[in-house]
Amino acid sequence: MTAVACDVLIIGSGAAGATLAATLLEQAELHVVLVEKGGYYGAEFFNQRELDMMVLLADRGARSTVDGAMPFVGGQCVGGGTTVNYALSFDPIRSVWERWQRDYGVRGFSFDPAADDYGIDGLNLASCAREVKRRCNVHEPRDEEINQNNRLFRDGCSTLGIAARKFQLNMRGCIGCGFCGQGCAYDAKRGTMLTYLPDALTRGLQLIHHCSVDTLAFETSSGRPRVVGASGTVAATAPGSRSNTVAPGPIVFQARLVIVSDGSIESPALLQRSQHPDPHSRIGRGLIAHPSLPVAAVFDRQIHGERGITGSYYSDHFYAQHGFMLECLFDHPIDAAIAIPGFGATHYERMLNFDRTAGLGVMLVDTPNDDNRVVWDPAAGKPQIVYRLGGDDKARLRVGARKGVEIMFAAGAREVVLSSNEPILPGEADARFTNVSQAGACDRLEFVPNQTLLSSAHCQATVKMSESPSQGVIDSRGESHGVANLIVCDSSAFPTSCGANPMISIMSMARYQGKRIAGERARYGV
Amino acid sequence: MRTDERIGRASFLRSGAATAAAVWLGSTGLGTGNTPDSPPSVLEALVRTVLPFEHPRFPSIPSSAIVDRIDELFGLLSSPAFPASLAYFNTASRPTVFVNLDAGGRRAYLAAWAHDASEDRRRFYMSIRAVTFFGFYSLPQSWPAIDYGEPILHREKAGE
Repeated sequence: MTAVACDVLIIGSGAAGATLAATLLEQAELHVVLVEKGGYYGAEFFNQRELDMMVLLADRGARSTVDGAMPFVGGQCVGGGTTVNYALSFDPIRSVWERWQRDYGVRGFSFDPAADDYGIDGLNLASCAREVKRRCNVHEPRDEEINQNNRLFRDGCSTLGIAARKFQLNMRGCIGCGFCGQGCAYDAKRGTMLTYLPDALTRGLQLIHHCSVDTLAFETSSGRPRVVGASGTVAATAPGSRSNTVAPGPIVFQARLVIVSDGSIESPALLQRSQHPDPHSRIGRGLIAHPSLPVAAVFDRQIHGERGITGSYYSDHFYAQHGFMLECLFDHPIDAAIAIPGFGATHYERMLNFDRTAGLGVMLVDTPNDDNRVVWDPAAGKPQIVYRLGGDDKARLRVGARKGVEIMFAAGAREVVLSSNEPILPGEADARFTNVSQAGACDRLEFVPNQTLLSSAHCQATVKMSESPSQGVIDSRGESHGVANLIVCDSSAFPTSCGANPMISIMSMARYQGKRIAGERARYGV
Repeated sequence: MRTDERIGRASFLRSGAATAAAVWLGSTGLGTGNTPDSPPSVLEALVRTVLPFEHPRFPSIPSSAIVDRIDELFGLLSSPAFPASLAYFNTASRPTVFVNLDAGGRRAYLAAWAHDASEDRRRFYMSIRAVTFFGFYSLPQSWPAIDYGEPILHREKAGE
């Protein structure tokens, strides 16, 4: 049994955890321990093979809803989602945070760069976001870096009068290999593994990977529960991972402050299996998924969408009215084959067009629904994810699908398919369009589970932040309403959708909370 | 040592990837079936339906190799639930038995499951095609036909 005593224990090394660790150590002399369930894989490991790199993902890429219908893709490695995402970087959206202030009583997180939240000099969300973006080298790609897939998307939007914008990307020195999602083999993607984690390690952080935290330890002698540590297991270091700082076996942590940053699936599951008080049944409820529908189109010329920067353009043209974004993206063969509908010769003929295929995703900002939830299942030994698309969300996603089809034809596609075998067109076994006049058939999509493939890579809002314990599990400081010295800081803390791809919003919130905690150390006895 | 050699197939399995399809397929709510056809033979018949081995541009990979690879990757045939699900699939429409159908009959049979009112049947369809595509499109031999650019790792840049 390994025993570790520290001031601050952070569980999860992704966008939030690593940023928190670095910020705390930058601001205060503390003994901080960061634990990560997955391995510590670096550029030397990333071999650009889809199958091999599934080891970087939760459940090796097989994490999905309990009905198997909807994959929930997430990083499970040092750096978390920032190691396996496409580097798409959106600023925190002011109107969303203002709505959270209004609807959930969230305090602080000022967008005024001159604000001193909590009386702490210079503490505000605007400054934190600016610092995060600078540290991660967030910038727009140059025109010459835009690949053919993204050019077609931009041109299709332009033809239809749909505004398309360049993504901001956290990259430096990208060579355009096209394997962002498999881990950057060139250390060009500036995720937390290459930014805040090294910052923290330089300042004395202890990183323990391959470490599953089973439960948080609560002490109740003073009445209100108080977290005093955690227990778990360190697995043997997997092949290809960097070495660990502790030996495999059981491990116990003693900590004055525990911060859970394990993401929107694992964080609520950890609270649930730790018997965290939940008088209002809020833990795990109201899961936001940002369900995404792939749209693929065949052109008469080579595109090679797998090459170059994967995502350079998106459109928020319909965001205000319909709440979806169109994001230009592309997959490698395994994921592409799964996304393209059909089987047998029909499917193979589509795959033979791989080099002439363009792709985009319709990403919906979904409506909060308490029935969509994460539930720890002790028998299965894993969280169960329950998610169904609501009626209004289906209606908005139909609009998105239709716009996606229209953009592809406007760009010159000769055939478009959705990731669906719903027979929405006469004579077609799946959602296949051969001319733009058929796009209206998207109105017949029902998004039938296990017939239309939606996926999620942005789960959020399962340990909601609210000043009211009946609305949220944690308050604006991220502190648990029910357990002292326990903070939750990751995408689960968002009360609803943050409104876009969440990485920078999560990191900005973590930067903010790190500074706040350092400024209020006495509050936690550290 | 090159990275792909270092990872290796066996290491990948030891690292836990074999759970993937078991997660998808092992917990479907299908019943169990009783069939004289062995689970590998049913799986191979499914693989031959999902992938068009007769297509002129299909690479010369035997279907048994794809079955072996799927089982190697996901350990399905030795899982408790999957062989029973295969048996159920094979005989769910008795007297019609999937493996006894010709190619066209098998395609129609599988397509019916893809569009079935039963969510468990649709899940089986989606899962079986997913693991088959995992098995096939992870093979470098599958890439030239689709003109996939392959990994372009330039290790010299990383100093190797």
